[in-house]
Amino acid sequence: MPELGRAALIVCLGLAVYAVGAGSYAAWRRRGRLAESAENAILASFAAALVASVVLLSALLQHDFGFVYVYEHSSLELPQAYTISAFWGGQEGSLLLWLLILTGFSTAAVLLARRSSRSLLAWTVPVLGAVIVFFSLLLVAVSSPFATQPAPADGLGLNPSLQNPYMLAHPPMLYLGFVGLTIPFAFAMGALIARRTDELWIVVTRRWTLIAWTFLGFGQLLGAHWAYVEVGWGGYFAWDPVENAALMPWLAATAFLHSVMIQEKRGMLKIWNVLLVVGAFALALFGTFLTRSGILSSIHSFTEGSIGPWFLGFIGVVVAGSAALIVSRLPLLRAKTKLESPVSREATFLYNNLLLVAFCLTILWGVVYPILTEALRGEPVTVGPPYYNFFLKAFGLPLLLLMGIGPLIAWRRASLRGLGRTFLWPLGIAVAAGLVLLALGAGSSIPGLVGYTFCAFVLASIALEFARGTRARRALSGGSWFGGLAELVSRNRRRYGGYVVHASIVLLAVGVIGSSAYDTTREQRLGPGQSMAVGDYTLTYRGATRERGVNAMETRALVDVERGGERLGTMRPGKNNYFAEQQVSNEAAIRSDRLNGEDLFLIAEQIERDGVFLKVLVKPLVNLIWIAGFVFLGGALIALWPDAREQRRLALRYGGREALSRA
Amino acid sequence: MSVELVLGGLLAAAVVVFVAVPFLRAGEAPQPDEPAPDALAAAEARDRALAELKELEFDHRTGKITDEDYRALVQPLRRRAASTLSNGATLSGRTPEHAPEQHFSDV
Amino acid sequence: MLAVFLVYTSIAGGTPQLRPSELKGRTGEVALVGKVVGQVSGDARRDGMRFRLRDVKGTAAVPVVYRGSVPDLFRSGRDISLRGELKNGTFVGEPGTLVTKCPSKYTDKKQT
Repeated sequence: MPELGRAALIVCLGLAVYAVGAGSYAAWRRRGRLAESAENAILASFAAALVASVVLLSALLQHDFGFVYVYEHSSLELPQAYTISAFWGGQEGSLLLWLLILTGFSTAAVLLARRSSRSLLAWTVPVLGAVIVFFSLLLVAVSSPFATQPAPADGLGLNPSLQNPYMLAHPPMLYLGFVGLTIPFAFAMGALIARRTDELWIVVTRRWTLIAWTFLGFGQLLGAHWAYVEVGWGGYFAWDPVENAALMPWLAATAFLHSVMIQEKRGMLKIWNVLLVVGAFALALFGTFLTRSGILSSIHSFTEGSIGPWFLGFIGVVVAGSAALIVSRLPLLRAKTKLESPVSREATFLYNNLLLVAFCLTILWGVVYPILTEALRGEPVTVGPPYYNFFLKAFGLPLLLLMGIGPLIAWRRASLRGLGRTFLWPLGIAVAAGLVLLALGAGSSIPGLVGYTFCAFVLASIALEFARGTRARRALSGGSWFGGLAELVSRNRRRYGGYVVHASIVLLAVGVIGSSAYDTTREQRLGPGQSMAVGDYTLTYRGATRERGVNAMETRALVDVERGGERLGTMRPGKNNYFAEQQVSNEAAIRSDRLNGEDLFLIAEQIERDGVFLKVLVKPLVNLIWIAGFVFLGGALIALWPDAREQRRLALRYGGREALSRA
Repeated sequence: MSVELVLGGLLAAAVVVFVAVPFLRAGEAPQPDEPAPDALAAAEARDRALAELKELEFDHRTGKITDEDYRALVQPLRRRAASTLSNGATLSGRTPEHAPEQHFSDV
Repeated sequence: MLAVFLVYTSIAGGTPQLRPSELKGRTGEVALVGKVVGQVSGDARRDGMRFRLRDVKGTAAVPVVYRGSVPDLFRSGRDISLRGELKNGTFVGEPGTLVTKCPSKYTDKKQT
């Protein structure tokens, strides 16, 4: 069936080209039917991408090694779930997944916007089409998943380190995030080309941005958990270029999510918002370019391919084109309102944006530094974690503080007298928390102590927001506390969902601070019966076992764990030696303490006949990071939940007479 | 191999038809019925002014703004909201849905 | 703001990343990137693991001795990077800096 796949991709390319050409002409000359035809082309491109995807998927499931791609990334003995994940395990397949999601999202966007914002769609369709052209062109001409060969008996299989559930969730989730950022970008460009000055593009793409941002954030957490549990070096984020590639667009999208609120409330920052949405999209493309081109060496390094220059070219076109468009529309975007006071909610949002963008640029600088130095000096100079961690503290701590300050300040101009009152409780709680922590010994790390204090401040401020709001609600309409709270949240889902998300970030911060500023690491060689003390734990080596597993020889060191005289159990860190792939994987042993969120992390570096080299890490509060992920999802869900009242109001505003009669 | 050709041909034919559908339909082209840019800007300004009033009320109720500051801030905002309402009404030929006072009993 | 980054990166300094062919006569700490070739001998936990590191795309090679933790994916034929210094013709690696590259996921279809 490879010919069908190839044909489907060519059809997709053709449709996309039509969407660009016909769509542009239709928008320019206001041809309603041609515009609808171009929209249909986008919808049809999804069908074509779907056909191509089905072809590849069925080839994988049928183990058709006549497909080079199937041969290279799967094998007969591979469990079915991982055979499916092999779809995105390689370059060509992952590009096809990108195209599938892209056309799928574009279809959804077109169908939804058809009902509510037809005229905005006019110029958005060609932009979407252009992005689809790029990816389908890559798949047709440069990197096709449908190359064939005489079928060998078996395939090369999937790397054992990729055979875990994370491989099923992490890449698709990140793609949903990356590709999702295309939609706001397309609508923003569409609005600009059409010389529109209204906010419809923001209203239409708000949910898209939030959804993409959520997937990107949660996907990264999944990746961090994968690194922590499976790769098992004791950490969860290494500032590797590929990790940074996902972080940068997420930071830009975070800034964008906040700054659109200012545009919505005060009509300011239009230029900034357009720049951010272009930036987020460009960074998403740049991120995937970094991952594929081999231009940077990284732990995740993928070999060089010919695909790099194509991506670079497309990013260049996107950035240059958007910049030209923005410059030409500058008079339309100029704000008529100014910032009234540096002490206002708008101002805190602005500071938040500046910090986020500054941090994003810092990471970008660190990522491209090796490329620049190689070009200028002839040898690449890399920057390591110390650089990134410094700026994480420099920008992250003020950001934490702002999360707490923002909700307490009013729009336009905060009344300074009122400030004293509203700040009293959160400040008090924060100072008290700081003193308690100091007494508990948190002073060993000053940034850690400061971070914890800020976290307490933010949590207090958020709790106060909920409390005060509920009280005000109840004063108006009576009812119970719970009812008041429910109604409060329901009437302003974005704000209170946002507060829950902020709370999740605080949890994340506490987990990160605890496990990095207050962790303990020790390495020691233990003979049988010997013990070592790390933190509160006493570890005793009892011996090693070797067992033949299904596809690997499993060597484990048996280590008894005690704390305060109480026996906690036996941990089994070790290694797996895979027969077929001739590879060794590290199997770290992790013991999570349910009560205090602390992890005892054991790595058996080397198991010998008469001893083991053990690396032990104690990571306080690290499990808060994973819990934060779920709170994050919950908050995002609240913010995303459709609000019928708001939909009606927006329909009235943008729908014209027809909508008025319908509403 | 021939199955592929047939399927591929079907796909190509189907998309061509789908793309041509708007031209094959009888009747007028669908015209987007949306307000003019001026009316749109006025509507957004109106919603923004009303929302600000609501927020001010809420901030006052939850204690972020003191009574004196509230009194100072609310008058200009009310005036602005009223003017945007009348602007919006004249531009779009519709009457404002409700007076500013009524609007934010709805906090 | 750009000034801050520039200042920080030049002071805190990144580490130059070199290939074995560029190593000759270099002093000071550098990061070495290359492919492990030949036999790997010795014990990284005792006297030191010894191997030869070659340019990924080339023939120049340098002997390396390394003490410290060794990632599991390490073996002859793998691409690695590590930090250290050239001493008397042998590259002495700093403990804990040996990093292996994940076997490539996205290969150009022309390569095997």
